[in-house]
Amino acid sequence: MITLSLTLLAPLLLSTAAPLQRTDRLPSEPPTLVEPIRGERIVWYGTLEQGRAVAMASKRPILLISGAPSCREVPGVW
Amino acid sequence: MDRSYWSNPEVIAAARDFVCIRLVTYENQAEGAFVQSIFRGREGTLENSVFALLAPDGKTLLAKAGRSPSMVFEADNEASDRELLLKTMAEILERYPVKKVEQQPLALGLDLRRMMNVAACDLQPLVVLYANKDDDKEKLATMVAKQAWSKAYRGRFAYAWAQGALEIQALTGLEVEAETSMLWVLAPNEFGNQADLLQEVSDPKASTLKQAWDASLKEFSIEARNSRKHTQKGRQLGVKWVPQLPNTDPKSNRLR
Repeated sequence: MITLSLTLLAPLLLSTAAPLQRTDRLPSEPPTLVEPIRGERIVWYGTLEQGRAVAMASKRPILLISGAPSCREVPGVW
Repeated sequence: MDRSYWSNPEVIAAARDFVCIRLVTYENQAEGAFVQSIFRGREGTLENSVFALLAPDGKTLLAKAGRSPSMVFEADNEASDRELLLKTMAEILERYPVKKVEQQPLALGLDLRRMMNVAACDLQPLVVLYANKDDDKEKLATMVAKQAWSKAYRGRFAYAWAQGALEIQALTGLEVEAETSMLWVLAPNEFGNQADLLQEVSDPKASTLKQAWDASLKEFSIEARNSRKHTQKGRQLGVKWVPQLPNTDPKSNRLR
């Protein structure tokens, strides 16, 4: 009886729960094949201090990313 | 980190008018605290990957921050996310029009050890600089920056200063001599814990620098890397990266 009641109530309970958020499309593991980039690449300032100083001096906006240079504790891959 | 956005030619072109900062997560307390202040995932911890667009003050967010452009723009596919990224970047540049940019400084990372790893991750050569006097250091940095920002070499090398020959030897396995002013171009191995020497320039001048970089780019060859096999191999060999701060990324910790 209790099982039946919960089954019947389930759609109602679900509908009042927080809406499901779209999950980030990033795969749970990094893309398998990392291709070297030939030619020009983005020039990244590697510290916040230097990047901020350049942005303030030149009054340019900032594209900021952060990433760990290891996967499952193995270096050499973002 | 989702490399696909940052290797796209349109994004690379659009990024020229921005100051681009890429931090290594879990390697610096202050940087970690700042990144966490602009983005926290569902678990409230500092996540492995973060993406944000900021005003020139380096603090004000100009768009929602997230783990990646995919998370921020939430389009149906990566191409649409990229379009939205480019559109947002263009809108930001309307608010912050770029004036003539003076010579930019050499883009450096935290230190040689971390830049060896970063260069290995990026599959690119690493330029290591050394000077034993402050004046020489400034002179070398200015000369290298000028060439580094030129069209032919923009973004094609990673850069780091060395404290001396012993540091290079300890981190790369190479036996080098550090004279008054030196520059080495290294090819880090796949894990960034050893390197081959591509070029060595003593007392660098603009002409010798260009020769060394051209020769290095010609000699440097690296194949695409299968990250899954790379990780397996690293674990088998016992190669381990120990970050400065604990890795608090929920996804990374589930994989470990």
